[in-house]
Amino acid sequence: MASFVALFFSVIIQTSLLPVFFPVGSVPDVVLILIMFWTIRSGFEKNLARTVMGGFLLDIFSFWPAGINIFSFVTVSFLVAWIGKRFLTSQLMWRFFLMLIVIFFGGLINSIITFVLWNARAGFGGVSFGSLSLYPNLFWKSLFDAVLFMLVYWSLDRWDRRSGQNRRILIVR
Amino acid sequence: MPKKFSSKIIKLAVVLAICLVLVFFDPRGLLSPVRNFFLEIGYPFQKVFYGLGRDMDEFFSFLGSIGSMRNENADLIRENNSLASQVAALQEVKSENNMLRQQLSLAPRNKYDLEASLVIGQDPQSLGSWITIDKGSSEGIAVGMPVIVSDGILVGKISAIGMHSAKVSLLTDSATAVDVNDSETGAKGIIKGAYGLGIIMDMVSQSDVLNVGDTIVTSGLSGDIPSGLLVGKIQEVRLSPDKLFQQAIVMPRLRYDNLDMVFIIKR
Repeated sequence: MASFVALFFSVIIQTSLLPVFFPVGSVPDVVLILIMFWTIRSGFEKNLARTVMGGFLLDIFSFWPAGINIFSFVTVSFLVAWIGKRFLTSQLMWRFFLMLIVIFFGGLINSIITFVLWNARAGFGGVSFGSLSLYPNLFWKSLFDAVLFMLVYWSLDRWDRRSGQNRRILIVR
Repeated sequence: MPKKFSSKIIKLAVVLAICLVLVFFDPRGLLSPVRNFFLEIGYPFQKVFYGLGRDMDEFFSFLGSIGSMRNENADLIRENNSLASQVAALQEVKSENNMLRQQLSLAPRNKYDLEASLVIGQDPQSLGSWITIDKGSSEGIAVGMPVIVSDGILVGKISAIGMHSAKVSLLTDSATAVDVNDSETGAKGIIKGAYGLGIIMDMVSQSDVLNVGDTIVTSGLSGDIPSGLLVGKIQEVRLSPDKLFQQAIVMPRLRYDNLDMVFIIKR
């Protein structure tokens, strides 16, 4: 229930609060950040229901066909879990730094997947993949994702430990 | 292949396959009760959060401007004196403006049944270029209705509705298409969004004339959007990629990311 409430308010913040402060196209993916954080903590499978719920809620409040954000979030979550298991270390600063990189590229991949799915639905009418390079603020959006993650990481970490929802399954190498 | 790994792959494949079915078959009718349920729950929060965001934005802008207020005040006094003398001259311009408005057939506000609505959300991803407003089907709003700002400037069309909220696809949305004409030369075309990058007037015959700086207004040809609503000014004229038509890049009259209140033309 706590996860659902967190996801719900993340979606509201992403669609109604943050667009006021950020330029069009560069609003941070709050929901995705939350999902990537949980995935790093608890793994892909344990987090799958929350990933689907987060994507579904964002699709609902974006008035998009249900499935675009779910598809993207699940794919990103899978990749993050795969990378997390192999590369994230237990050393705190390195771990935090690597997580930032994961968040940055996770946001980038999410934007690319939603762009492709959105245009595939419309039959790529006059759109080429080359136009992705023109997709405004793609870099800034991912950068803001990383910065926002940096700002909320410790609060998220504390809340997550307190709620005890995710037990670490990180394999330390 | 390890068991754990294969179960993970199977779950991933199943979820992705279901998503693809949902995305490409888009069973809106099936999901609309669920959608409406969540939109109803979220509507008051969206309203509060968007209002809060606006207030915070104004507050920070105010704080940032305190330093420059003293100089601005002196400038404003000077400007006020100058403006007072211009008011008289503007009376004449006003009557001329009325005449031009008639000539351009720009839509007067009192011609329509307008429903005022607050903006409560925006597209965070800029793929669809949309805003969410706080009026929906319970207020008589329907899909396809044009949305303007107070001066009769078209900003988009209603593209999806909930009970108390609706999605407005902006003119910058690639899926939005509106019949327009050049008010100076009469050239007809269709405007559509360029994936959040602006507005393009397309399908203009090569025999028609388009000039940089011309005003673009709705033509009313499609029937769902009345004629004479202002769209913007031509910034650049070029040939379409297939060289069959002319295209014009249109500069909108206002910034769509700064909207607070809009009006829906109900009829």
